[in-house]
Amino acid sequence: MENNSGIFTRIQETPENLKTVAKKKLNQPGWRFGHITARVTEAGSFVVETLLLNTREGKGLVIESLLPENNPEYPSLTPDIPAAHRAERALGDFFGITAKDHPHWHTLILSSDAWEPDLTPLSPTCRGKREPFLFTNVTGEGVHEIPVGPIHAGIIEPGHFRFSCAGEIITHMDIRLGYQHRGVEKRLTEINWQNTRFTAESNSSDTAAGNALAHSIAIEQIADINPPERAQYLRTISLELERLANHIGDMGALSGDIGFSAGAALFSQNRGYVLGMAQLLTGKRTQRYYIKPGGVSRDADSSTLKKLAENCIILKKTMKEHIPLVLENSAVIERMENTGILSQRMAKDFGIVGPAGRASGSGYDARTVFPHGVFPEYAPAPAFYKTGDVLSRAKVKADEIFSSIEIIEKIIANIPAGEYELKNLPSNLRPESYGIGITEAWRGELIHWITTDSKGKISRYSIKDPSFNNWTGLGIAVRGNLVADFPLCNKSFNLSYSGSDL
Amino acid sequence: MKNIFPLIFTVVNLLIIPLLLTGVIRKVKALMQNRIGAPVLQPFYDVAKFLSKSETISKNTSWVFTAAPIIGLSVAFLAGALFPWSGSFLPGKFAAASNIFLLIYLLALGKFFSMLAAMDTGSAFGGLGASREATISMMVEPIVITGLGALCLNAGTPNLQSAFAGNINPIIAGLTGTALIIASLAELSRIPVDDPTTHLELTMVHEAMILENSGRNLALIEYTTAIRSCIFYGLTTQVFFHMLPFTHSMNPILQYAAGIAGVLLFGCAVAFAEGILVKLKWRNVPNFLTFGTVLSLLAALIAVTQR
Repeated sequence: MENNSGIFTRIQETPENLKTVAKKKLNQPGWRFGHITARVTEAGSFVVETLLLNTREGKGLVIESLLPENNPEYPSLTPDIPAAHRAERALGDFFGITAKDHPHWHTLILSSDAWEPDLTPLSPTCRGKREPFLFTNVTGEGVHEIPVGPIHAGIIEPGHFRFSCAGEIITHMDIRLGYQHRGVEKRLTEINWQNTRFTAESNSSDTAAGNALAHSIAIEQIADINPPERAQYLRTISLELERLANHIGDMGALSGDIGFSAGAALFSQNRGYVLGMAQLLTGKRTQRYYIKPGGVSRDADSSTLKKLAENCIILKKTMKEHIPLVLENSAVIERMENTGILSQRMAKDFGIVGPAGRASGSGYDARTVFPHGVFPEYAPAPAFYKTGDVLSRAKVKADEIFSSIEIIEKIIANIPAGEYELKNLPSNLRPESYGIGITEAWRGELIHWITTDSKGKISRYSIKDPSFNNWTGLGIAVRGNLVADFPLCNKSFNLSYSGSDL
Repeated sequence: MKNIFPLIFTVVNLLIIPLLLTGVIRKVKALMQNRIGAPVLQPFYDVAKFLSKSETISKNTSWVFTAAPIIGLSVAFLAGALFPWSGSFLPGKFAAASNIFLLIYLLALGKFFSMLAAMDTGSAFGGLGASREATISMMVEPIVITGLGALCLNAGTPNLQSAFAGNINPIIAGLTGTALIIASLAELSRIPVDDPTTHLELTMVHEAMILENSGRNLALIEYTTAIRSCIFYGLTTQVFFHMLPFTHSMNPILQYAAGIAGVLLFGCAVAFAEGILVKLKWRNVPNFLTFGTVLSLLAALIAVTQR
């Protein structure tokens, strides 16, 4: 397995040693858990691959463990590395691999009865039955359950929440997802690599630019190509516009959830303004089909860039007026402060990424370490709050709105002339290689991990959406809060269902 | 003739004004958010639409579920007919029955049945909404009873019609009126206690109770809610109105028109407030309502000492 990016090293370990080696590495400063996934070799055996990231030096370590053919199981990482608990359950669902001694070993994504109990979609042969989904049973005097979803009263994605409440206080919440499972990872291995970008960027469509960028980086690593300088600048504008639009939308949604309709109205207007800027740059408000391996799909002429720079100035002015209306409003603060607290310890243990992690003192922003677009050169200082309540998550988003506007302004001022895409991309990817694209999408660190087989065909495509780990964070943050505050906590995380279900 | 006019007025009033009030509130709220909003008459179309739709009723429900909206509407209609919309304008027999206790507990009866119906469906949200509604009612009731009691103690009669016919101590009226504003925000599920426009099931109070209702059932409930708003806003308006000494010398028709205009203006004020206020944390709702209780108690104290 090859990767020439200079970022990743690859080692091999036996499944028995995997836990010890990973744990030892994670105890060193700067290292965090990235992802754990598996693939099937051409000989038909399973390889469990663990990705660990060094967030100080911007390096990655892939630990490869070959599982014995007759017995696809390995000692679970979760008891020592809680951040792996969802990814390991996904291994059970998709490959039929068993993580021994996993404390919550039951199905995660394929939880619906619609899927046959012995379905293992990414494994060529059937590997036994899945453990059915289990809700935690909370007992005690006056404890009652509230099932919510998967069909909700508003137009949102499907997901089931089971609250165990003592009166109006949430004692525990179970999250059951998987209603949007549509086999993205499998489909991505079935089509030509030239077409994969369309599927890859729609894995969570509100993160089209983030997904497309992570995909492009992974493909470029495998194909050994470097996009032109100008393309890197344009890609970054696109990524930051996406962050702006969604963070501004979140500020409005947070206002709406506490009945502050003035805030909701103002910010949805501003979100539309940013989507207009995105359309100016990419031709589409959703920024689909823009970022692609080798560059971007269209250039921005000087008048477009000038217009964008002007819009940035106007946007900065409106944001300076509007954000204090929400974050300096005493009634809003009263609702957000000390609501939905995710402690620093929990955020670290469960690998919470993105604004939610930075609100809980993680200080990890992939833009500062891993190269994507013009980062880390243009990276902002990561937003940093320690309390981990709804208010700090809102503040992180507010800070990032301003830093993103600044980044876009800086990029437009410094953008070099030249080509915006590479012509004549290779028709085949390099065989026996892997590429890992890590970007800071607006929800946080997003990983696209592509592996090719001996013919240069994509044999495994694994995506770790920022929502994947953060769902656990939401489940922890709502404990002890009022049932009526759940929507506010939920919105402060604003996680993707489709990105997690894949 | 003298007896027919008031009756016609009352019926027309109860048929038109409540839904018009709902429309006005929604329109003002929309304008506050820079939206054009639905037409003012939209609630009428909505009720007509719901009436023509078929109903989906859960198999787990009993007769309570279908009866509750009918009981609720009848009771609200009766309360509306007993309510002195203009001081001295009720037809004879209604005037005699215009007792504060009858009025308040008629409304409470309707609410009791709507809570039963919510729990009857067996859905978690129905139970959640009903429990919250009961909690709020428990705190609103003392405000309304104490405040109106003070008013009647001052007037020397439990009959609202007669109480409004005489002079009311402006301090008592002012305190009671303010207490009633607070009570009406909670009772009618408005911000800052409840958000009537939210789609978030878990934060709902009143809306959670009626999630399972559809078709004709829903139409009756919407209409009942509108009448209840009208009565509460009317009550508050009348209390403030009678603070002013010149109201008693006004032409009855003018008084009537002023009363209706007051209700609609009150609706606009509520909508305006909703545009800028933030919903309270559920834990802080009692604090907010305690403020109303204190005002009512003050009014009662003054009424007692003045006797």
